[in-house]
Amino acid sequence: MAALPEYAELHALSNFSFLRGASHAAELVGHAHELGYRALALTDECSVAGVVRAHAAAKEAGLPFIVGAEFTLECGLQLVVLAATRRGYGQLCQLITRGRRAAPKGAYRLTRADLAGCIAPPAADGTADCLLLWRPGELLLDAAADGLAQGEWLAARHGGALWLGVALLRSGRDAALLAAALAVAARLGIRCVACGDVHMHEAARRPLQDALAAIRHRVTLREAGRRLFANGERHLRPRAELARLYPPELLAETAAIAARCRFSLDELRYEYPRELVPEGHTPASWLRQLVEEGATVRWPEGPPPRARTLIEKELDLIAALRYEPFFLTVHDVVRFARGRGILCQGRGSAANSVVCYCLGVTATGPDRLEMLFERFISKERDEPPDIDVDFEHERREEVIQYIYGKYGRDRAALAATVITYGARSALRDLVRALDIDPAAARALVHATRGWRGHSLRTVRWDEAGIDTGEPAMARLLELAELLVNVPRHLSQHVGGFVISEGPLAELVPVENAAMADRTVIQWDKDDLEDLRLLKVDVLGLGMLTAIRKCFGLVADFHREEPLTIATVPAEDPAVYRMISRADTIGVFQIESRAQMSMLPRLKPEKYYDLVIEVAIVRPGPIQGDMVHPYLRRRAGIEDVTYPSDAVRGVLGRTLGVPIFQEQVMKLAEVAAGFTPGEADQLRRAMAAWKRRGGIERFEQKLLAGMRERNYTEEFAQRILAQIRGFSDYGFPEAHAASFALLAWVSAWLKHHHPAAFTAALLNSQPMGFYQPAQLLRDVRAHGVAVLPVDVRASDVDCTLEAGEGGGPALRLGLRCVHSLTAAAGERIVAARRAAPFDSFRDLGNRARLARRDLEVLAAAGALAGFDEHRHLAFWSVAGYLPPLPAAPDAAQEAARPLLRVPTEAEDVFADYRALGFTLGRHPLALLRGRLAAARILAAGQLDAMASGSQVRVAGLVTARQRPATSSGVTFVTLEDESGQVNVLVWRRLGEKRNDVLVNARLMEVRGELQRESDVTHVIARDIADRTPLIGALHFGGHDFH
Amino acid sequence: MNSLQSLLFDPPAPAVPARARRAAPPTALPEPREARELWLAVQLGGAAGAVDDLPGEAFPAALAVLVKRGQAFTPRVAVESSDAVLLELAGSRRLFGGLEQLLRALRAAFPRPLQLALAPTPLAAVLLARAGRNCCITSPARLMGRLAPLPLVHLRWPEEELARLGGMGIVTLGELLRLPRAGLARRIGPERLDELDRLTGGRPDPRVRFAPAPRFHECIDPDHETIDRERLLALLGPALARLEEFLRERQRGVVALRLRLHHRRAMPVCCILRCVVPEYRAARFAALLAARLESLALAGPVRRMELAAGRLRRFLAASAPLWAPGEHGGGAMAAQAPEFLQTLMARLGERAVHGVAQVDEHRPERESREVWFPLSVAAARVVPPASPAGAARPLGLLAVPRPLAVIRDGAGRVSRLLLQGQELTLLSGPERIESGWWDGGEVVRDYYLARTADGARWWIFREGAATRGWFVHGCFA
Repeated sequence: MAALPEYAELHALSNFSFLRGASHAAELVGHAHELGYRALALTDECSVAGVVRAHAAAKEAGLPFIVGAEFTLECGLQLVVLAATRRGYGQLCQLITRGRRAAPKGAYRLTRADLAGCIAPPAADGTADCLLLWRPGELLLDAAADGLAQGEWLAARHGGALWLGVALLRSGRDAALLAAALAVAARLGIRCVACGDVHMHEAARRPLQDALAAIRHRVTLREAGRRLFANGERHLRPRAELARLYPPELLAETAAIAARCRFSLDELRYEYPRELVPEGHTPASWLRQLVEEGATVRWPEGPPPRARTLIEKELDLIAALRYEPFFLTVHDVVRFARGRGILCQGRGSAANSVVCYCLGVTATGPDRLEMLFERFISKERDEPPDIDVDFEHERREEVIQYIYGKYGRDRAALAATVITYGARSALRDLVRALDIDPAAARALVHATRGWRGHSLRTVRWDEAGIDTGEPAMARLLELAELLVNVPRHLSQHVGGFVISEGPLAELVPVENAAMADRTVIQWDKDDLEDLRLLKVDVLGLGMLTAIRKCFGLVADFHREEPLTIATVPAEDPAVYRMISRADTIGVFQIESRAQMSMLPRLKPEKYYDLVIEVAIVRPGPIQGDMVHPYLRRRAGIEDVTYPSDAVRGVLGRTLGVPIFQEQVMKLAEVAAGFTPGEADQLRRAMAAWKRRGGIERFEQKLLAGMRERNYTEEFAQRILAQIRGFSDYGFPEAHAASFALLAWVSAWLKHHHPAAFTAALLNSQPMGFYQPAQLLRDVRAHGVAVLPVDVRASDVDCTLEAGEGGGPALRLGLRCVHSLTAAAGERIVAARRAAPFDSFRDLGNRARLARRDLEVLAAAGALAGFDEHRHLAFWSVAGYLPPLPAAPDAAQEAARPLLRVPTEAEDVFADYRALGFTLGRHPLALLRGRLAAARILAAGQLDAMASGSQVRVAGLVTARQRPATSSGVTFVTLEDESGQVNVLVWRRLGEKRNDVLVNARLMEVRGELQRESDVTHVIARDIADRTPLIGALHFGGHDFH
Repeated sequence: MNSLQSLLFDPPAPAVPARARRAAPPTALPEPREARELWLAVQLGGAAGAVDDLPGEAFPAALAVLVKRGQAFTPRVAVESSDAVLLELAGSRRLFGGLEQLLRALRAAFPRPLQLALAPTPLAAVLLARAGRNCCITSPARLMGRLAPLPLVHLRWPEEELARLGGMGIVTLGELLRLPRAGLARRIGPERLDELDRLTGGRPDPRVRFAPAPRFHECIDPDHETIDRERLLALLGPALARLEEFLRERQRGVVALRLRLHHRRAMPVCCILRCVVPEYRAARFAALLAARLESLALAGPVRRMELAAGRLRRFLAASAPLWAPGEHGGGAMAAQAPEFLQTLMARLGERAVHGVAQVDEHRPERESREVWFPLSVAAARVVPPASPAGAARPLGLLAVPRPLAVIRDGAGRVSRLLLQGQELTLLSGPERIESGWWDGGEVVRDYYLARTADGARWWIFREGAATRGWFVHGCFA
């Protein structure tokens, strides 16, 4: 037994060979280590997407790890390429890039010429950068195939670095295969090597591997037949078994090859582009110069001493870690955006530095936010700097194209996002593969509706009437459990750019994304972080678009210099009063229902209060039960105490309650004895535990550490709950600070320029939390006149007109008309600039509109100036024919029928259909008579009701929300002519009336009124769909009157 | 009678024609205010399945029932849509003793929730039935008044056309029909205008009478009862010739032919002839019937023969090969194979003959399966396996693998395998097959090729499951 042969697996696929491999990279590594393998090569098909994870796992296990990939060329030639050196790794990445870039997303195409072009042959002294395993497989047994020709081609080129890979998989023809391979190898003068064609780490994965194959071929397992493997031999087999199958020299050869592969991913060094540094400068001196220039802009009379010390401290740190090119790159992108007038703002830990403030990446200076600047990049924690830059969402593409243009597609690409199977997609695919009865399949899907969590075992199957003991169902659930979190495909990260000095494809393969003109690398952001590679996040933010547009509207109307984020006045009590009233529809971040219910309790009075407000209504603080303690302490009901002085230092600015992610991290250090490095690991584990798990050991350590230092169990458990909450969306103070600034700017604009602010929001749709209907109702409630869409007056965008009192009135733009194309809108405005329209025909002729365009305008009431009413306008345009060149007036018609004047209801619903809102009465006002007869109250009447009374309300459903933290409660917002009603639907009722909850447009609710410090809810006891009432208004105009 | 009317139809009956007509001379045209045609629309309600005695599953089947029932009242039955049929009743009034009687009978034949409506034009009847207005309009003059309040949706025009009219505030037929013709034509198009004209009777609206699918069915009554098979076949000859002509005319064949033999005192005997491919030749039918009759036990003299052909099918006529089989390597069996099979089936019984198809499967016992004639579409589309089986397979397998005797050595390891007392020598293997976990028929086996001393080669396997038993599964020829 002692004489087990050495073995290294040189051909193994992980589940990054999508729908082929059935094991995670880490599982392969772990099992190879257990079996005492000498090394493991991960050779996914034309991909290295899994190597970073495998590398990390192998490093931990102490198993030598080899990077490689498997290919099937167009001509049918199959081979495995292993990277022996850093140069070889570069060649491998080049080859993958070439194959992937030549084919649509998810596929690749390579020819022999590509292989020859990318992979260098071995040098004269026999050393090689890449080692090749030729896998002719059964080809050798087929006399008619050109097996030998393939081998000859390869051997001629790669002689010293080529092996014939033999996989003996108990197909019944192993002996013949081995004999043929040995003969061919001898003829070519190369050696044979054992390789396992591994698709799973252990034989027990065979069912999943079969199921994946069936899913890949889009057939049921029953139909799959020989598209499945005949047996489960493609796993990592014990060495004793291999010794029985292979001649010893084939096994020995694996170890010899593994020994030649010396490349490790740790060798990768990544350099930011140097072209941003002009001649005669070093990156450090150039960054310093830019910072100094920026400082004189920020502080015309010179930076205050505190800022000066911070600048020096930060620049030293940046220099020590050699991060200058990163800051220069971010600065370059921001500078470009500024030059184009694209509003942008940085956030993230490194963004809230004085350096970034001076570089113009952020607008929040140290005079405004003292606390933050203590924390920057942590040298001990060795955490890479994090700067996300938000751009106007409508113009982010310009920035992206600038980056592609400036650095070229070979040097810039987006990070990938690995899309993995979720519970529902896993069930959906497996139900098909296993051919489960459709009724049972529907029940399954129903049971997982709204399900979140880690294990499918937590779903309450029996409640859904599913018998998990039934064999087919048990098999399905067992497989689904395994399939969850298996990668499905690579998608593009929302905006994480990787930019390099040299060709990116030598660092990591680049492939096509689904979107045209987008390329992504094969690693996701965790992989990049694992390898300490930096990325710049270029994100889109709707509010920035709206703010920029609002600045423009205000400047045009009042004929003044446009405002900037920096010039919006800093503190304004009137604006805080508005915020404290929760009068924040449209304001960034603090407009959601949860936020609005918090505002009257928190009553923000200064900028830092907004920072807390933005951060506190998040899963972390809510799950950690930190919200109420903070509110109580703020209101002075509870004393502000600290368990220790160390904790005071961390939690001082939030009244002793941890709210931000970094506070929790810091607590782990001071209260549980984590080292800075461990705290950083905790942070990363937090971000990934939903997907990967692995946070448990930190939890134990945290509890033990805090117990040791005499903190109460209860406090420790709350911190733990908060950490779990952060995993959904970790919210650091630095992010909150940047968001709070935009919240402040938008609140200031809403208060001082409501018409312009609403116009800007409408012009930036879709964005934010509210529909145009609600934005308009809100702005009219604030006394702003809103003028209808009218082809004689409207621009494409919403604009400001001088209103009756000289103040601005909001004129709706043609963009509000849903089905009107942007091009048609622009032609209308251009034609009107030449001369006003005298009739719809004049409009149609000069703006070159199709009848369809005119119809949507008529339906929206935008032609009201030409006909007495909407019906007549519609009749006119429905008969419109574009002018004929020969007889321009032939299209005229004389007769006009007598058409009914539209009823109010018809007008209202025509508005809703064409615009999504109406300037007339609310539809519920039209139904009020009927509703009152059914004893249904209006929202406005609820104020007079006592808390606890039973009420009936009905309204249009404007929002349905089921927050992750609410354990199945659905928040429904109903709207009627007098206001809004907030309804809570508990899970039990929601499940019972799911159809109503999901589909009703007009909902009736019976329930109990609850009022708690200015916040009113109706707790639903029953809900009903009253949508047909709208239909009655809508179609049967006659019946109604 | 009035109560009946109001039960069936909403409005009070129009002037009932029965008595009036009796007074008029028999050759006179119908009363001027009576329409020349009277159309009854029978509309399946929203819940077609609710009509208990209609086959509820499929619309067309339900429709077929409606048509059949309708044909009891009038030959002029037309299918309007997948959920409505039309009956022209003007011609049947007299036969049923007046419209009253006719309508009463119709209501009984088409019970609720079927919607009925009577109108002078087919479209109007359908529209009224769709709208659920069970009414009875016999005079064109009254038609417009009844149509006007109907919502336009019942026209079943495309959504966008209705939306366009809705934009003008036009939601009822009355509002639509009031609009100026020229303007309307420009807005809804001439086809729609034509449809409206047919609706109001402004234009004729001829309907195609429903015709059932053709079937061949014939009875042969011998002049005297006989049990002589030769005689029976001779009697069938002319009928088969007519069948051939019938099929030739339609360029169709049949794959099933039913012959029913009636006796005076015994139950009729039925024999069904199935063909492998669609067939039309009388001679073939005769030959097959002869083969079939030979083995058929007759209960006595035959009094009558009933010949019925199944559904008509398209057939592919093929040219006869230029060379006779065997001549110059001319295609031997291929052309004659179906005929040969048919003869076999006719002689041995249709269930006695089956084909074998290769199946895309790893499990040896499922690698082939039986296929029955005539080949169904699924069977005809048998896909050859994507990859060949691993190693050699015996042609025939045992239905159930038989266990081998295992002799173990002292350490419990298998030392010898015996098949019927003969020792087996392993020649090659293993071929490992692990498959089928998804349907409860999981197979985990290592197959070997083995030989007994007498030179016979066997396919044996060892179970991978807990038992680890050895079995023989097949024998190589």
